This record gives sequence, C-alpha cells and structure tokens, in this order.
Amino acid sequence: MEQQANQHDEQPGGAPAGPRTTRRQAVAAGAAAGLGLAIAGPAAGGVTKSARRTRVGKAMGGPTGWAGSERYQYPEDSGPGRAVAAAKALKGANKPYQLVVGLWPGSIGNYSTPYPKGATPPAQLWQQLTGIKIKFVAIPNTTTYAKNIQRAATHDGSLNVVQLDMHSTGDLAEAGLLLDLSDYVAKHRPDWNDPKWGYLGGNTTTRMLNYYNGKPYAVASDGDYQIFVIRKDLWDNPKEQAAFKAKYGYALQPPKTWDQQADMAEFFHRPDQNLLGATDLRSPQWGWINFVHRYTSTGNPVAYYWDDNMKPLINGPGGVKALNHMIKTTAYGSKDALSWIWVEQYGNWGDGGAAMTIAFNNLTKFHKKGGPFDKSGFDVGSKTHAIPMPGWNVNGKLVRHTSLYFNASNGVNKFSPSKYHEAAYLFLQWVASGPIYTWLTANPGGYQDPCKVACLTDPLVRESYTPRTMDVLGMTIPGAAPSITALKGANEYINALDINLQKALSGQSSPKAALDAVAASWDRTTNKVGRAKQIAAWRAAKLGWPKVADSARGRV
Amino acid sequence: MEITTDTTTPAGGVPPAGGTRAKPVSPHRHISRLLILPGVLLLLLLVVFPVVMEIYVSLTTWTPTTGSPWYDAYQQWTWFDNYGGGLTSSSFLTAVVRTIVMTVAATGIEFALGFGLALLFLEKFLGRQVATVLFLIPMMIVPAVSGFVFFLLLQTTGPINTILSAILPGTVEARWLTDPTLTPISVVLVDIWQWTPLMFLILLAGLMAVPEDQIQAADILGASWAQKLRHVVLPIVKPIILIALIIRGMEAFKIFDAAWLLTQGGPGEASSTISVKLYREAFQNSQWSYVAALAIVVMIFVSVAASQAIKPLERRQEESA
Repeated sequence: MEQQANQHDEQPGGAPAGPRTTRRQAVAAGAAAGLGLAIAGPAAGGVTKSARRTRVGKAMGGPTGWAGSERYQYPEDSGPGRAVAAAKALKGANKPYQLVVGLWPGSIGNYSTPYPKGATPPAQLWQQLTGIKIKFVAIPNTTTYAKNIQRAATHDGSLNVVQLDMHSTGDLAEAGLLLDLSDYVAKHRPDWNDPKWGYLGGNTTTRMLNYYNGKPYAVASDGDYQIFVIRKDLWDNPKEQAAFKAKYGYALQPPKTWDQQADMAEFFHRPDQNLLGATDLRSPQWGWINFVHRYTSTGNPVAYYWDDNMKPLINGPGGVKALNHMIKTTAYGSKDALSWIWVEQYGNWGDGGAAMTIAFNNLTKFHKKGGPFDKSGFDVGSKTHAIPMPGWNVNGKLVRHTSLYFNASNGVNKFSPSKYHEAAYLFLQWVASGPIYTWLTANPGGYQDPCKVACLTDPLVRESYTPRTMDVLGMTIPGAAPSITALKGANEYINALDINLQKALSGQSSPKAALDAVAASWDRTTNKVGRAKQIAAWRAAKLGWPKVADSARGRV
Repeated sequence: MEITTDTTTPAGGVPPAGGTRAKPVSPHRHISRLLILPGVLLLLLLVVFPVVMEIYVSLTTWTPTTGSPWYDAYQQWTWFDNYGGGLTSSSFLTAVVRTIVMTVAATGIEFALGFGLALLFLEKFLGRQVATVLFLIPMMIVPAVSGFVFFLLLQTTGPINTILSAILPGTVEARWLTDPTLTPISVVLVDIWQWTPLMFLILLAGLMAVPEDQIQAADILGASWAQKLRHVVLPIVKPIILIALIIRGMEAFKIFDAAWLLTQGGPGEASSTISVKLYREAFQNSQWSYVAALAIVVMIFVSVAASQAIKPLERRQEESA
C-alpha cells in the first residue's frame, strides 16, 4: 500500500517492472498469514454473542489482533466475506497485481492509517486477504468533478476506482466513466440492504446513494448527513427560559419547527455578547443545502423538487415559504453570513459563538474539549446537543427532514482495463460492507462519516461522534430527503438554485422571482438533457426519497 | 554551411527586373525546410489544432456527459445555436459589461498610481532601492494567497473596516464580500493592490529612458514641470504607456482568482466576470460546447480591442520609418 500523487507512473492493475513473481509470492504468504490470524483472532480476543452464533461452523474474516476487532469480523457468507472470497478466486489475467484508487486526500487516512494503534490498516488487510495491492492517488476534493469529467472526455483509465460526490453520479454515468455495477451486485450480493449491516434507511437509502436511473453506478463511502445542534447550556438556563417564555409565550425547548427556530434565533442573537442566533451557512456552494431542509419539509410526507413530468415545484408556496424563512433568519447570523463557509462556522462554534447551527455530523467529532476548535477553552463539546432537524406543520402534522450533500462515493472506472473491473468492484463491496465501513468510520483519520446501521451501536464510532449525535442520526437518516442527485445535470440544477438563492439572500431579487428563475433554469437544463430521459431518471430517483413525514416522530 | 529561406530569386538565377541583386540559391533548401518543419508542426499542434477543435465543438451540443468522444460531436451539430444562446444570455452579457467596467477601472487606477509612483521614484531619495523592492512585493505573491489574505481583511469585522472606523466618523460596517454593490469593488481593489507594481515597474523603466539632454534643454527654455511632462516626457514614453495599458488591460479582462476566491462571483452573479462565468459553465455545469462558443466570442472581442489599442504604436512606427 502506498500513497502517490502521480497517477501516471504505473498502469492500473498492471504489474510493476520489478520482480513480479517474488512480490506475488510474498503477498500470497502474507494473505495466508492474515487469514490464519483472521481465523485465530476471535478465539484469542473474545467475541460477542452474535459473532459466536455466526461463527458456528464458519471461518471469520476481517481485522484481528486487537481488543474489539471482533466487532468488524464477518462470516464467509456475508457481503465482505463474499467479496474477499471472489477476489481471492480471481484467476490469471483477471487478477490484478494492484488496484489504483483515486481518493480525496482526506479520505485516504481512513484506509491507510492503523486504527486502533497497532492494527493492520484496512487497505493492507485487503491485500493480505486477497493478494491485491491498493495504491491510492490523492485527488483534491475541490476539483473532483472537473477531473472526473476530464477523465471521461479523454477516456482516461489510469484509475481503477474513482471518487465522486453524490451529485455527480448521473453526469459521470452518462459520460461513460462509471461502470454499471448491476451484474456484479447480482453476483456478489453486497450487504447494502442488510438490516444489521446495511445502510440506515435500508433500500431507500441504497437507492438514494448508489443508484442512477434504476441502476447501481456508485458505492457510497460517506455519510454527510446534516445535523442540527444547539448549545444546551443556553436552553437549560432558567433565566433564559423565563425570558423566552415572557417574550414569545411558549416554553424554551429545542426547536421542533422552523418558526420556533426563527424565534429562538432572534432571542439568542446578541452580537454585543459575541453570541449569534443561528449560523447555518448561506454562502455559495455551502448554503443551498439549508434551503433543502426547509423546503423538503413543506409537503407531507415530503416536498419534491419536480412533479412526475419534471415540472419544477420549487417556485410554489413551499419554496417561497422556505426561502422567506432563510432570509429572515440570515439576520440572526454573522454579518458575513453570505461568505462564511464551514471553517468560520466551526471556529465560531468552538468559541461558543452561536446558539445553534446546522452542520456536517462531524461537528461533534471535532468540537471536543481540547480538540482542534477548542482554542478558547470554552469546551463547547460538553454543551453541544444534537436534535432532529426542525420542520413545518403541514395540515397539523409535523414534517421533518434532514438532508445530505457532497457525500463521497466510489465507482469503477469503465475506461480502466475491463479485466480488472470485477476486482475493483469487489474492493468497493468489501470497504462499503457494514463491518469494514464501521471500522473505517471509527477511524478519526479521515472524512468518512456514519451511514450504516452498525455505526449506531459501535462504541468507537459513538465515542468519536458522541452518543447523542449517533442517536439523532439513527432517528433522522431513515427519513432524510435527498438533495439534488441521481440526475444528469444535477450540478447544473444545483448551481441555478445556488446562484438564485444568493440573489434573494442579498436582496437582488425577491424570493418568488429568484425561485421562478430557478424553475426556468431547471426547465432549460431538463430540455437540454432530454425531457423524456430526465423524467425516467427522476421517477427512478424517487425510490430514494423518504416515505415518512418524520422518522424521528415519537422519539424526541 | 549556408542556410537560406529566400524564395525571391527566379529559377535559373536570373536577377529580377529592376536591377536588385538576388541572393544566391541555396543548395540546401530542402534541408532548411525540413529543419523548420518540427517547429511548424509544433505550432500547428499547439495553436491551430486547439482553435479548430474549439470552433468545431462550439458548433455542436457536445459535452463529455453525452458519453461520446469529442470527434463524434458532429452527430450533435447545431450550427450557431451556442453563439446565439451566449449573445442573448443576459447572464453572459452582464458578465461581459461588468468585466469591461472592472477592467477599465482597475487598469485606469493602476496606471494613475503606477505613473505617479514612477515619477516619484525618478528622484533619488534615501531608501529608494528598498522602497522599490517593497512596492514590487505584491505582484510576486501567488494570486491564490493574496485572494485568501484579502478574504480575511475584507470581512465585515475585519481589519479594513476597523481601520476605516478609526479614521472615519462612526462605525464602518461595509460588507465588502456580501454586498452586491461592493463585491465588484473588492475584486478590483485586490487587482489594483496586486498589479499596480507591474504598471509602476514598466513606467519607471520608460521614464528612466527619457534622454536627460532633452529635459535639460527644456529647463534652459524655462519649461515648467507640467510643460516638461506634457511636451517632453509623455511623447517619449507614450509607446511604453500603451504597452503597459494593453498588457494590464488584457490581464485584467481575464480576472479570475480574486473574483473566485473572494466571492465565487457572488453574491449571485454580482461579481461574476467572464472568466468566472466560463469556469462555472465548463467545470460545474459541463457545458463545454457552449463555453467553446463563448470563449471564441471573447477571443474575437479581445483581439479586435487589442488591435485597435495597438494602432497608435503602428502609426508611430510608420511615421518614424
């Protein structure tokens, strides 16, 4: 395993110029040793009851040799077990010496850093188990889309596995870069929908994250779900409670609706005391998701972006209501709200500079006592309390949806040597399987965030993200509404929304005019792509939309 | 070995009418052509091929997301639809007008400041060399870095507003990065800060080349400082001024870094320049054929503007010849 910035010095999957046989023999020996450890490990380390039950008569795979490693082990007849067995069974020309995997620099640590200390890093473990080496190539996340599009335009097959954000799946599938994984999914049966190891939200989430136009093209390697956090010390303060009730006429509780959120943002907005009411982002590329939360909860069970014939619905009353709320609450944030990105937001939160915010769920991972954002010693981590995203009362029923954006996925590069496509897919099936994904997510050395059922109960993940955040993710992810994804031109739709939201937020146009402009732009994009084609993709994408109005109902 | 590319001598070596002496015919003409062939091919590869390819793609609706290779773009032939779309797009036309205004403002102010500084630095004073080096530092800074530095300086609660609050009555809370009126000004300010030194450097070199004897002659004739500047210095440095304005104007017209780093062209499109617009369309929206058409329109516009701007220089050259 190695990290390389230069992606052209070796062919993907190709043999190096050196002593191939010797290296293969060495790898084979390593694999045998690794497997031996894998079998011996659970017996030595103590296993859970469920693992014992699963193990009866079957060998276990996965990490070994450290306390707790048994949590990430799996039987042969499981998603990761089948992936390893199939990769080992690849013969001759179809078995690559190595796979070249393009990853965001911040993602590589999940695969290459030993965690816990002394453990074999996941990529190295894969090599031991299968004999296939993994070489990582760092691709800056800010240029991922542009690089992938260039890769498609030039039929560049130098990477076996490419990384992408979830919005690009449609474009890159249509561009021919992403391989349709249907056959491999049918053959090797990943655990994506497994109730214990699969995605939170089951098949709906699988559809949202991995599918485009009814076919799997990507394998999610992230969980960029947004969480709503409050500073609980403020909410628990009896003086604040009394003052709030006196002013607004109802008790100060964590906000359940956006109207309550606006009241509380106004109440706590005290810039003279270095306290902002609410700092959910508004800036280009970072702010539009906060419109999505507000918009998708204006309909019961959910407000869609288009009707079934791709007529935009975003400029209807729900969209205007959501945007008006966003404009109103912008006043309770930073004066530079339109230019703040997560760096300023996280820094401000670390100083206890805001009463509430909406952020990636890693906010609670990074805001711990003595952590990178605890520069003032305020220890906001002990005061941070995650709650489900607020919503709207729609005909007397509370509708609440969180959402996610960016969210890294991986895909098999169709332009890489086809004989190695299956090996590349098997690597993705293994790393995205419940046990291995949970292990990777527990590792604080990378971007990867929780999205699997097993993450909810894993002690390392809970410790890293805080138990409260994990509980809230467990409640809200099954009801998450997708951002704009699984469509060709998704980035163009997003840009149109983003630019016009900025115009409305900065007073250049009214909310209705801005959303009408979005709708007009979306129609142009739809017509350009081909309306019939787009309608089919949209209808398929709706399988990834939540069926319930509030997945946290009755739990908070 | 003699190598010539002369082709004026008729076959047979007979001198042409008029009695001018013909150069001898080279026995190695083919060799000479072969020797320059790689250079010509390289030029074709680097310049002609991309331009032809760009024109070809601009006449189609091809993008990488169509899934077909670029050379099959003819299957999506639409003639001049992309050009029509661009020239009727209010978003693009507004970006063009905005860019022209920003270019004129930035180049004009940079010239005024640069020329003023150059006049000051003509005189010897203590620490002139150190001051010259200090003035040149901004243009040596990577634009990405200067953009980020100004992003911090221009925050509403940042140092620039703090300084302004100290010298102006009341509290200055200018929203340099989020007010649609102020964001283009912020972008221009960064450009001025970074590139005035270049203007200063070019103009200082020009002013230093003014012959001392002409200045002394004007002194003897009793010319004032302003008269010397107008009647002696400016006519001599006029070509240098024109070159400096053309170089900076063309560079400012392509302004991207500051606009992208400070505001990403926003809020909305309030500070979106042509380069920002093209980047967004190409690398976020994947509209490559549309961008190809827009880029050709911009290239024609810049070429025409540059050729007009350079005309005074050509006239001067003809006059002196």
